Amino acid sequence: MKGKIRIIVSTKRLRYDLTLRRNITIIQGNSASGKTTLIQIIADYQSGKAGPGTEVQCDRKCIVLSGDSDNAITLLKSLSNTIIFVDEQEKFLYSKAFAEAVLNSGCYFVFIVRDALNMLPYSVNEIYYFKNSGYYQNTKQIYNSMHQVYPEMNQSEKIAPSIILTEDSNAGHEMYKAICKDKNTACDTANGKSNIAKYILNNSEKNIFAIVDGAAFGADMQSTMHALKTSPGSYLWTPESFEYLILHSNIIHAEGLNEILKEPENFIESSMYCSWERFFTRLLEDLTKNTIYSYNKGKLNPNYLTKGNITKIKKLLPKITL
Amino acid sequence: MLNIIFNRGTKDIENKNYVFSPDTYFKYNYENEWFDDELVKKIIWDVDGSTVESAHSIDSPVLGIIAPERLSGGVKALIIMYKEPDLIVNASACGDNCAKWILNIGNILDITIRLGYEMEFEEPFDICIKNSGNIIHTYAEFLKEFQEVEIFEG
Repeated sequence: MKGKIRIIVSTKRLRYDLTLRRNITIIQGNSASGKTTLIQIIADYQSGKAGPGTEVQCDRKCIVLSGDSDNAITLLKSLSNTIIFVDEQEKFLYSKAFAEAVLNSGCYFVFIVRDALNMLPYSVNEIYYFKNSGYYQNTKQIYNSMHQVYPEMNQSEKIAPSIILTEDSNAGHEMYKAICKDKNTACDTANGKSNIAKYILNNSEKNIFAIVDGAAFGADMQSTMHALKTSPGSYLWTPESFEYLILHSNIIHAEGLNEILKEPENFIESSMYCSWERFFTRLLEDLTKNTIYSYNKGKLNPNYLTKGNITKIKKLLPKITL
Repeated sequence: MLNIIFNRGTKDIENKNYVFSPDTYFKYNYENEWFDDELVKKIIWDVDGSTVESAHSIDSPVLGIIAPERLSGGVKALIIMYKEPDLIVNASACGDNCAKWILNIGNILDITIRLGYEMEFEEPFDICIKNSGNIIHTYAEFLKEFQEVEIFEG
């Protein structure tokens, strides 16, 4: 499944408007913001119990997955081209077996959950909360719109980090290390994305500029944002992935690349790629195969580390002073 | 005092008094008298914006007149914490807007809750983290304690 999917759920009293862009969307937020009610409306509509006045408008089938783990996973495996909603009260949501089934599925998922789902690579951009936006167009419907929990922040001041921190020591780390060479900024790795928050908490007196793969950092975003509050000079940057930056940097030229980068959701088949990070890695590998820029995620090809290419990647960074 | 068991990953806590789904527990176990309690009324008003008229009738600004079963998951969890303090309630059912009430209940009674995310507790507070046995007083300590808990993925 791919593409942007819009879902409008309405009753006489309520109206929800959701737009999904990727395979996994998370909805969080305060109690009493209408999350569970949304699930109940969809479940009642799906079972035919809701009657007139309740509607779920979407060009794909929407279902609520609930019940015992074995049945839920069996049903999930039989589904395709479907939007699947799961509430935090379903025990299977936290299981490894369910996570594996999600990763192999061609469906889109909406999870209503506050706890991090560490086994799923969801994006920092697809974590939302509902906001009650008043009444919908002169009706008696209270309108619940979706808002990003972590919108891209406008950076007004230049950041002067003492450390550039990466998730691991793969290709991206090598590039940032090269950017930091001969500068007053160190380049360190957290040895895993789930250690980024801990690293910031343990070094809160330092100015850390953490760079993570936003496409798969969703589960660690809340911890990291809280950690950043204890370290006022630190900042988090969440580009989709390092490969996405290379594709954006003009180092690689390919027909149709700009169209893909402009609206990736129209090109990324969720049954093949469980996260956009995987897609961009594969795309870069394919585009550079048998060229001087042949890409390997584990070890950066030295041809990316020329002065000109380093400058091209540097231009994509937020305003920082090294 | 408020006691918290941090729980991250796939393995849930094993305790016969544990309430994984406060919503379901509430549905089968709530008592009418609970809605005569002034603190319960305050919680329902503050979190859900709803007014308790009786145990059978709660006026919600969004849903109209509702039965207690249709209160928010967060409010149901708070009421169980307060009315059945021997239970270990899954506080991940509560949003940040419930944090002050959890602290409030913890000031009145000894309660233990399970938490799987970094709820925003406002200082000052005294919280015992059961995983380490440490008593913490600041949110920075709270965050560090949370990060010390292993993420179970088995």
